[in-house]
Amino acid sequence: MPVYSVNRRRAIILLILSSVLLLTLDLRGNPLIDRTRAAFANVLSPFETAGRVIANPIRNAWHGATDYEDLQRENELLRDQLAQQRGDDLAARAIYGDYQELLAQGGLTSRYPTVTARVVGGAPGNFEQTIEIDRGSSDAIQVGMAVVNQGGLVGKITQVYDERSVVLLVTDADYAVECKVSGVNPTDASGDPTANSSTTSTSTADTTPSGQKVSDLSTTTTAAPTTTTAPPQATVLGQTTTTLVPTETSVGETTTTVVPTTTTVPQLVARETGGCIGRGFGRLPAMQYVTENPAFGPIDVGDVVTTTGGSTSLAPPDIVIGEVINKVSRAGSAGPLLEIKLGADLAHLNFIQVVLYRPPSEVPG
Amino acid sequence: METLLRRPILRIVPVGLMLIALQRTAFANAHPFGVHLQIVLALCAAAGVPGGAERAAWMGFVLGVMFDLANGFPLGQHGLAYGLAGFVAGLVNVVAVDPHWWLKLIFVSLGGAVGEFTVPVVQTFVSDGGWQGQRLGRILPVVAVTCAVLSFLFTHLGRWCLAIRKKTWKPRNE
Repeated sequence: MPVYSVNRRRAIILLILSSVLLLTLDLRGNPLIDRTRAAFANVLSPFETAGRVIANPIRNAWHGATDYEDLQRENELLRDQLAQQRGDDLAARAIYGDYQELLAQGGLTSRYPTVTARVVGGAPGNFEQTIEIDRGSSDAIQVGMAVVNQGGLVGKITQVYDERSVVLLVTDADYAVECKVSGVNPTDASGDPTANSSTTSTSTADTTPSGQKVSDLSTTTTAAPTTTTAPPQATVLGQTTTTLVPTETSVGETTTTVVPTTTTVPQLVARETGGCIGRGFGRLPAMQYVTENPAFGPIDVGDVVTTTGGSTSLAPPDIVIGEVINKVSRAGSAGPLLEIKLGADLAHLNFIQVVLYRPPSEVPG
Repeated sequence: METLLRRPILRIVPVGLMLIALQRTAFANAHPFGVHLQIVLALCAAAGVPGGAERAAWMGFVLGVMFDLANGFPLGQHGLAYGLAGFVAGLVNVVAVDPHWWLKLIFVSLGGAVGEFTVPVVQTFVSDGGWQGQRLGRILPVVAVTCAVLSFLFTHLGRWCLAIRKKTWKPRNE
């Protein structure tokens, strides 16, 4: 039997032509294909539900058998962390009021409505970086909306169905968003006393600077000293931080002295705007189109990269993407490529928030 | 009625729906060596053994288009890839009239690898993503081995989907 028979040749040509035709129709945008896709998702939904019902017990049993030792180790670790968290919790109550104020001033969730969703699936193939969430058009989610978590930008919505959506991750090579890189103002960094006032005073005030009563904070004397690293977006400029220091005044009696340490956090200034692009598996996303104008100061490792926003950008402004971790110099006029370490941990996504934001250019009226 | 029920398309579509659902649920977190297992691709490749190149290509195309529809990929991307997988695996019937089991395994693995390889090639043309470089060196062997292992089951399933009766050999003088 010859390898290249007429039927076989006809089959392969037909296959290629049909695929190319479908690809062309789809890429040019075809409402019929979009409707078919939506209908197919509805048809597939009961099969998926059945698949989950069957797969979950098997998967759980498998994980129970294979990951038992890891789970035990993790459990012990979590117990330790829980004990530490109890102490942290007491300390956290003290600064909760301040935190609420921070959110009101600059927090993303207070500026734009969000929908919290659970991650229910990953990419089905080996060449895409997507996740699937359990919210869809019934929750007002639309294609293009930005997706974030506590760490920062996660991606954007690319497919929306009634009860689920697909999120393209920031690291996918198809992803791009306008962004800006911000660094510390050189005058702040130089320690100019007029620009960067750092005063420490000790007093026995009854309230914290945010107005919270000291009596409410007295429990913090039991808290173990902990170091908390705030995510980039939690950094609020010009915010007053309060440190509680227990001082022993007499035998067996402990009182709390509030030491308001007023520290003006150096002002971040936008240095450059550019485009943040994903670069695929195993590669950090990068910021390109950077000219590095000396007038705006040098761009350094550690500078924060955030979204720019604007009338056409799908993402609202000032969502933290991450920090510059490497600056790759390029020849010619291309400018340096800034590799970005993401604020969000994309490997461990459980819950995310979809920002219900549409660019001004798309809002009717 | 029986003739209608024996039509391959009426078998391929429900089987495809079930496999795609399984791929998206049960196999969604199965990543040996960091590679997603591709069971739909395995069926397409395995169908080449009983069905031959042409019919397996057609079946692969249908399943691939369903896969694209389900996952929001550009329509035709996996249609072409899975069609090629079936076509290549089906060429085993060109090499031998009644191929040995190991020959079938080799062709199914080859078909699976070709199918998986086609995806980034097509992506290079239709999107900004695509070429995976060194990662392909890990993906292709894992996918090929998966296809080979699953072919023991999927060859029979593929035969049923394509409504093909198993070959039986009789002595000429009977």
